Amino acid sequence: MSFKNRVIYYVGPVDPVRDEVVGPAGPTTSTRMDKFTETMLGQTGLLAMIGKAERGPVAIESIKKHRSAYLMAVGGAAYLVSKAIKHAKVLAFQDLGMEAIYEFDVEDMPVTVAVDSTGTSMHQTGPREWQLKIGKIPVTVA
Amino acid sequence: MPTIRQDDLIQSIADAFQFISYYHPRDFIQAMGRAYELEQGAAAKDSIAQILTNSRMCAEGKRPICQDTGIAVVFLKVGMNINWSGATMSVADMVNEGVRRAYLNPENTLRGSVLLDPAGKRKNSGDNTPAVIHYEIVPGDDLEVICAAKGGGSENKAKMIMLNPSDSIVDWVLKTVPTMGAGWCPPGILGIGIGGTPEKAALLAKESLMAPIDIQELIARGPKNRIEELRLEIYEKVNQLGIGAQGLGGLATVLDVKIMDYPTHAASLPVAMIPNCAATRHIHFHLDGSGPTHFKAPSLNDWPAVSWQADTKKSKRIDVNNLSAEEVASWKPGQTLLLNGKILTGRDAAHKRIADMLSKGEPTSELQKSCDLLCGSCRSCTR
Repeated sequence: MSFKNRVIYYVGPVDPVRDEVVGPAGPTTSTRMDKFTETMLGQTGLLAMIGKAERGPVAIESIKKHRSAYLMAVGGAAYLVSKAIKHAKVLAFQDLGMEAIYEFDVEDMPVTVAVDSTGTSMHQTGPREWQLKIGKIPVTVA
Repeated sequence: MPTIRQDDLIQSIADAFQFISYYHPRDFIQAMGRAYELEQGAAAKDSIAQILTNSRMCAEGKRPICQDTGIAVVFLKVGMNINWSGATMSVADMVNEGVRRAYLNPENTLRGSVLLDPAGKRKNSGDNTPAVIHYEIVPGDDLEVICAAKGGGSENKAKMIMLNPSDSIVDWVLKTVPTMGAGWCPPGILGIGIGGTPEKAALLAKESLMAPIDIQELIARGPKNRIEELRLEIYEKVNQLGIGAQGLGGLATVLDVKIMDYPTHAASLPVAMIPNCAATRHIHFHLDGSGPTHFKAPSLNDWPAVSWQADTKKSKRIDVNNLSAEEVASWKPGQTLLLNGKILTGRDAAHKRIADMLSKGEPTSELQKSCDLLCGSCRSCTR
C-alpha cells in the first residue's frame, strides 16, 4: 500500500449520513498543493492528481518532468461527484478529520485532463482561446 | 418594543445555514441556467451542466451543494427599538450556537472547516464556530439577519488595493481577475466595495454579494448612476476575458457584478473585490419577536431542466487499479476520462506531513501505522 502508481484526489469530504458511502466530495483548489508536487511525483511514485483550478509553473514543470498529468473534477458539483464513490475508508492520518488520507473506490468518476504530460495547461489555453473568440479584449503574448 | 427571544434567533440561524447548504438561491440558479443555454465552450458547458444537475440533486436530497460548507458569515442589522429581554448569552454566542446546531445536524451533517489558532496549531474547532459576525445598529423594530456560507476557494481570491484617486477601477479589476485563476469556481459573482477606509471597502464588497442577481434588469433599463454604470461595464468586460466556467475558457465568467460604495478620504480610493463562487449560498430573514423564521422550501420547478450524464461514448474509461505511466503520458488536455478503481485522497495537512516525513527520513510515532504509504521511500523503515 503506497502512492506508487496511484492517483491522488485533493478533497476534504463531508462526513456521510444514513446509507451514504461518503458525503459530498468535490475537489479542493490544487494550486495550494503545487509546492508538494515535485516531492509527490518524484519520491512517492504518484502517477496523477485530481483537483480543481489551475496548476502554477512549479507544478507544471514537475508534471512535465515526470510525464504525469493533472485532472480536474468540477468544483460546485460535490454531491454529483460523490455518487461515483462506491466505497470509502480512512487509510491514514485519521486525526486530520476531513483532511485525512482516504481510499475511495470510484466508478465512472468524470474528470477532464487539465495539464498533460507535456505541460500544456487547459487553464492557460482555454481562456486565451475564448478571449480571442469573443474578440473585444486583445490577447497579449505573456 | 419587540423582544427578540434568544431561542428564536438560535433556531432561525440553525435553520438558515441548513437551508442554504442544499438550496441555491432561486435568482442564482436561474442565472446559471441562462448561462448554460448561451454557453458555447464545450468544457465550460459540461461543467455548468454538472453544477446545475448537482444543484437539483442537492435540493432533492437535502445534502450540501459543495463539500466546503463554508465559514459562516452573518450580518445583523439590529433595530434600535428591539430588546433582548430574557437572554442568557451574548448575541455572538446565540449566533454561534445556531451555527453549531446547523453544522452538527445529524440529518444533514455539514463540514467543520474552521480552525482555531490560525498562525499556530490550526486545530479544527469541530463545530464550524465561531462565525464571522458584522453588526449594524439601525432605526427600526426588528432584527434583520443575512446568513452566508463562504467557501475557502472564493474567499482566498479576495483582492484589495488603495488606488490613486484618479486611477481607473475598471482597469484594476480587468488586470486583477485573471490573476485570481479558477480557484474561485466561476461562474460566480464579483462583489466590489469602493471608498470608505480599507476595512470598510472589504466589508462593502462582502455585503454587496448578498443582493440577488439583477444584471439583466439593469441591462434592460440602463444605468441610473455611476455605480450602475460601473456594474455594467465590469460585467461586460470581465466576461470578455473568456475565463469561463471552472477557468476552462467560455462565455460565462460572472453572472453579475455587485458594487457598494461609501464616502472616502480625499487622498484615497480604496477598492476591495471578493468573489462568490458557483456555490453561492445566502439568505435574508427578519425577526420581529413573533417567533423563529420558517423558511419555505423552493419548488423543484425553479431548477432548469438540465440533467448531466457521463458521456460513455466520448469519455475514455480508465482502470486506475492498473494505471501505467505510458497511459498517463498519452492523455491530452481537454480529454474527458471516467475513472474506475481505487484512488487516494489528500490535501493541505496530509501533504505537509508526508513532506516532513520524507525530509526527516523517518516516521514519527504517530505516523508509524501510516508508514506503509511511503513504502520504499522511507530510509529508516523498521518494518
